[in-house]
Amino acid sequence: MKKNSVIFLFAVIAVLAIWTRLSQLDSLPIAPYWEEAALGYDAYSLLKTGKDHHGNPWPILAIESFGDWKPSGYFYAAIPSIALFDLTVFAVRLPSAIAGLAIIAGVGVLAYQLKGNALLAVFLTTISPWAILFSRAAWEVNVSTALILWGVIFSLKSMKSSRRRQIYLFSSVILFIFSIYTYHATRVIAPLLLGSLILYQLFDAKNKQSATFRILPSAILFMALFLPLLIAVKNPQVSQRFQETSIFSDLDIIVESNERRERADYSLVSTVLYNRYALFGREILNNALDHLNPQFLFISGDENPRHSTGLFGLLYHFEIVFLIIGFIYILIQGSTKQRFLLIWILITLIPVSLSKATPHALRFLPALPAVILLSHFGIIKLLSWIEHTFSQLEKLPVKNLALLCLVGLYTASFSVFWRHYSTTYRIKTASEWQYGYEELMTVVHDYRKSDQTAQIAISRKYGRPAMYYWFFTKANPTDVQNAETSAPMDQGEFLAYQNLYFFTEIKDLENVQPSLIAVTPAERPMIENEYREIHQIVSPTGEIIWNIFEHKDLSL
Amino acid sequence: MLTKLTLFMWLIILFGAALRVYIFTHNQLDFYWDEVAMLVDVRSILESGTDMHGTAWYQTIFPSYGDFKLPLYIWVASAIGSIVGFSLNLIRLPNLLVGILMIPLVALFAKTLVSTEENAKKHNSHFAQLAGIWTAITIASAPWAVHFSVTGFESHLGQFLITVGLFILISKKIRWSLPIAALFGVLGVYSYYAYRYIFLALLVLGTFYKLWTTSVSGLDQKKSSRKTKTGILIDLAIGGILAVTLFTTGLQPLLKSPWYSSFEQVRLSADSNLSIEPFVHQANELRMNAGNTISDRFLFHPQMLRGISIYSNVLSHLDLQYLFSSGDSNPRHGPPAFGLFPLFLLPLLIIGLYSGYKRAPKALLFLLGWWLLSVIPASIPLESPHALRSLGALAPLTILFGIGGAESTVWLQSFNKKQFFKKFFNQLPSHTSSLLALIFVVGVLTAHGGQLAQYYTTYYRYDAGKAWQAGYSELALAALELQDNDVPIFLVPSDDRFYLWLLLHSSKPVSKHTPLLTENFRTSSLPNISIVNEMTDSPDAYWLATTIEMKPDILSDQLIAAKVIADSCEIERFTLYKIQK
Repeated sequence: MKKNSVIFLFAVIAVLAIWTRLSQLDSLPIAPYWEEAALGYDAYSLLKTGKDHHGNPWPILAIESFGDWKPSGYFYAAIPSIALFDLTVFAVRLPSAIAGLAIIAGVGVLAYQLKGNALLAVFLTTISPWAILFSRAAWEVNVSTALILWGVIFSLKSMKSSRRRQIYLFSSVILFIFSIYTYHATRVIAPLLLGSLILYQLFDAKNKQSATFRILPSAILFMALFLPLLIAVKNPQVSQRFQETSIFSDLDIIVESNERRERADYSLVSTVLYNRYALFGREILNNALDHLNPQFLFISGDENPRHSTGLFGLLYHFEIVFLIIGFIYILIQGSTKQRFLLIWILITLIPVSLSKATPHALRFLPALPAVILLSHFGIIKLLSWIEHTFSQLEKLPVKNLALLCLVGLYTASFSVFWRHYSTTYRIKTASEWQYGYEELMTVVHDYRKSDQTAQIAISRKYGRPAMYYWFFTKANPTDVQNAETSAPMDQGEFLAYQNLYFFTEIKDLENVQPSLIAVTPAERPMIENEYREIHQIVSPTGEIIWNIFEHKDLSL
Repeated sequence: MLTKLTLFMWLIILFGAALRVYIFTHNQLDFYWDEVAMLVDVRSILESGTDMHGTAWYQTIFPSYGDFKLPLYIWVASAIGSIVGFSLNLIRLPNLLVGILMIPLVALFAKTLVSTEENAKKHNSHFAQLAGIWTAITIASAPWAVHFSVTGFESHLGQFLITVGLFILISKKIRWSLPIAALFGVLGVYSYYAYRYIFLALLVLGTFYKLWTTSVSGLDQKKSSRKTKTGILIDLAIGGILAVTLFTTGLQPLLKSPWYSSFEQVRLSADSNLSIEPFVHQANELRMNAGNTISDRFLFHPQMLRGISIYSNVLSHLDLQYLFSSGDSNPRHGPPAFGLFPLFLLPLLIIGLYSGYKRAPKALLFLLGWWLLSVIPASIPLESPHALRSLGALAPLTILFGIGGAESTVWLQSFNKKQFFKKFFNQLPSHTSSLLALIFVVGVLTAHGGQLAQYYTTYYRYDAGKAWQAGYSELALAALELQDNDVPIFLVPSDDRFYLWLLLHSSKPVSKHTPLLTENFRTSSLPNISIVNEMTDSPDAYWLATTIEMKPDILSDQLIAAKVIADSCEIERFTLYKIQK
């Protein structure tokens, strides 16, 4: 292909990439999920006060978020964009969108390094439903994936370049370390990936001794930066997430093991076959295979509507053919570097198969670059096979026709995906993205402005109202930090803030006489006698989400 | 003289047969209602030459309990029964024989398929022999094949006949192989009706493959090329006409059966992707949400949604967890916690795809086409993946494993010749590496076979008892024992097919009950025994049997006796109460 054509195609893809990642970023998905609100507000709090909303100064390992601990990377990544664009949904999602663009570029570079086709790889990543979905909300995993990808690129680069080897290797280590401090699962993935890359470098080197000395400083740097995490491994900041999501906390497997052995009168065979470790092994295997399920990969994706549109899987329906061809080609005929893609996928499967709730599109995301590159190799191999097989038909441009079919297929699929994602998905998943809080908090905030002493109660039925209040009203973080010591809490969530009350049941408000109360339609009958409705918040599909009532005494 | 590989093949067949026979005789599994319905018909045929409804055995559709069954499996079971006598296991015996015969059949199939192309490339037949052996290993040990060899599903016999037909088609001259294959296809359809759709397509696929590979041989033998091509065309014409005539004529008795329309109605009544309505609703919703523009009407088309749904079901049969770890979610279709194939064979499938592409691409396309055609009928109903309906894919998948196994063996043999290993193995007695590999394969097979056998004999009936109507036989025997006491018995087993168990276990000939089968081919009462959903009106004294979960309101002064009825695992299933007002 001519150079100008390639540049033109890259430019077209770049425009498409920017459009799919940045257009309507604040409203597609329709609203910020509570984790996005918390990420944004904590980053805002760090920016304004140097402390998170609980008052912890510059946390390194993790930031407390509703009884959970989230790695701190994304919070820091969001600070510059919040500084630039203020505390908005756009600003919170921007680091993930930029990471999405970095992933596209990275896949292209990696394809080039692996002797693939950068243009094709960039195109596939740009229109990938999996990549688009996770680039458009504030998912830490997306940033972490971009860091891992570029870490791999720099590591591979360090094998080639002789002058800047150390710089590339150090950069790779730093990127891997950043990824570790950004997302839980990459605490397992990044060290294993980096370890396998280092091993590859050692085996590949002609002079193993000099290679060892070359790699040693980077290995020491990695260990030094990884150490804080290792030291705190039993600290809830690090271990809590693992304990909550790990399959090893599942007692059913132990019960099954005991039952099986008892049924076989504790025979030696049953003790071997059905001991708990064998059954845990089976569970791990099933969880891993769950992520290779064709229906998950190519049809419907993750069950969680925030992780998938439902009409599409992680990849397009027909990409199964390319993925299988790519996998077999790389496995059997690929170079060692190309085979690293398979190791990458296998390593990513380790943490996801140790967790409950599988298959999980989000936790599996670090494998995205490798999966897309496998698919891209499949296309290359298929096209070359078509060209070779039909070489006798000289007058017929078979390869170009196949290419045309391919582009047509991708364009049609992408059109359906984007149309569905930007219309039906946007409105059908409104409740999953906590739609309605922005309007509710505007009403509440306006009401508070008109009457600063008024007591206001908001139902917790949709979750985390306090955080949404701070986020949408840009509440002063110092006030929130000051309230931390006296506010009633439930798993780190504020149940009261100043004259706002966040209740689980109406009966929780016995000692409070709110002037304004926001309830869900299910709670409405319980307050109708005393209150008068002044506002309704309706979902895009027409269902009432919030009913806002004012006390009847006030309206007289 | 037997070569080592032939001897090894016989040992594998022996292993597969022993595994099946052991599980068949030791699993103590109860009987599913379809099996019981066929057993009643078989018993009736052996007693009187007629089915349970009094119609002669040579009918092409058996009304059974109103679901209308095809005749071949019942005929085969009856034929075997006329030799060995009637027993409950008789209904599973045809599949046991078929399951054992499948081992050499698919091994030969693999060998023939691979050698056809290998010979064309002037390779020796060593690879083809290895492919046969590994195919035999796969089918001998696959839980999918073992399970349907020890249960009484007609689909298993059907897929065997189809495989025989295809084997004849690809291995013999087309003039005669086509009509013979069609004959086996007809028999396959008389065993399992879903094959009516796919067999013709398979016949076309097989013929295409045959012609494709034959023309390659023809090109190699340049002198006889022209003659061969003409000869092939003549053979194809004669064979094709004979095959189509045989197939259409062979199906006439079935199509002309008085029960045919009812039979079709029952088959089409299941929820499936054939109905477009749900997709129209879904498409309308998507279009409305998107704004219902012209492009939306095109992008969200109901046919596209239906296509995705069928495609999704097809792909579900490729799920590695289904194939290698968990199998079908219905415990009747396979042992839970086992995949269709043993996990240790997973690499062979991947290598098989590669090796097929490299060594025998035409065979690979034929096998993939066969797999796809077998899976499509299983993907039309909503319930998917389905190990029973997709049983036609057993042979092509197994052969793919076989090709992978052969490739791995050849690779290991070449590895053995490499300098490092040569040095190592030269220090050991000759054939040590081969012996080690053999010990490894035998060890893995024994361990897997042992685990499967232990599962069936120790756990399966506990895990899947309900799916096999555990306890029904015991309840029927208890009710029949009380039948002559002139105290009415009311059974509330939540299943209106329970009368089949009464017919099966009754000491009276089935024909004695024929006049009772008037309620849509069923009955709810035998002398003194009534099958009811709930007690509405009761006599002064009666027996009442309910499932163990149901606790009928019986006044303590009315309850005379209560007896718990357990199944063969001693799990309590029913309670039998004697009540006197």
